Amino acid sequence: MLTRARRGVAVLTTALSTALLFVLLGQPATAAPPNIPSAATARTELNALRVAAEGSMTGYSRDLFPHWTSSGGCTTRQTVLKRDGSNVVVDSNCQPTSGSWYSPYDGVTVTSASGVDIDHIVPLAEAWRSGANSWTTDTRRSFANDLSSPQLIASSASSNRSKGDQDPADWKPVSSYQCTYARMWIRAKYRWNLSVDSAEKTALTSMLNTC
Amino acid sequence: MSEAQNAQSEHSERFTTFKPPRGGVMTKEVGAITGELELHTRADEDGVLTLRVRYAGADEWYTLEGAPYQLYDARDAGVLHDILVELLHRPQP
Repeated sequence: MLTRARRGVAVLTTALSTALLFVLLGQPATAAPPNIPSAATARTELNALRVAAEGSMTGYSRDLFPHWTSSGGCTTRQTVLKRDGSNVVVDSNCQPTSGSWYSPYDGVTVTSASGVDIDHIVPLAEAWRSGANSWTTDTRRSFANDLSSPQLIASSASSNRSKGDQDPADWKPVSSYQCTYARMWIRAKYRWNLSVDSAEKTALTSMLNTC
Repeated sequence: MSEAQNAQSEHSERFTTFKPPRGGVMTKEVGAITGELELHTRADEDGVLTLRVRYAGADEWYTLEGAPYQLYDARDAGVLHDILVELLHRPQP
């Protein structure tokens, strides 16, 4: 009797868990970085980018790209966490206390904000060797906190770490996301007038061909 | 200064610039870093290793994944440095 009761509870719990899981997984983040260009526009913008070999890293430090800045009581990181997550609840300091984040780079859903990185789509080091070395700190700050271009995105910490400083010649997200990724990357480089190297341009062209 | 102490002070701290293969080197702070890099190794007198890497010419260091490590004998730090450089250095034409 007890066993049967327990089994009943277990079945009910499983059903509830499944329903809950479905609710959580059934709502991949619809929010995405803003102003992602069409493939046709991205092609035009890619062809407008200056093609140059990557510059040196002399003098580089992340401190030269101050982040995160605050606006409206939220840091840039917190703003992106709210934008890119599902059912995100934040406390009075704008820090998420619950929510889930679908990481399009690797198709992983993360259920704790601490496991989410805000990725600079064009990495800071990549920006430095593509022209940001000659910027003012103010410009670098604007770039590192850019909420207007597709330059910041919530991703799993592991995919962000594997990407590191690499451009699309050496690191690509899962194939289903490569079209979007290339369009975001190109727009960010175009907006910030950064150069591409020839291997990077070739990779971006082939990624756009998957659109 | 004994010969052993002398060897330690001469060899416990080393810097070498190298070029890793594609994919670069994994760091704790910023994930994978690529391009021309510099390795810094140092062992304190207890053999506790400092293993750091930075972009050649850059102003900040990153910690190699897996750290901290401790050697039985700090004098082995130089050999370890040489092995790491041999493993990490992959010059491209």
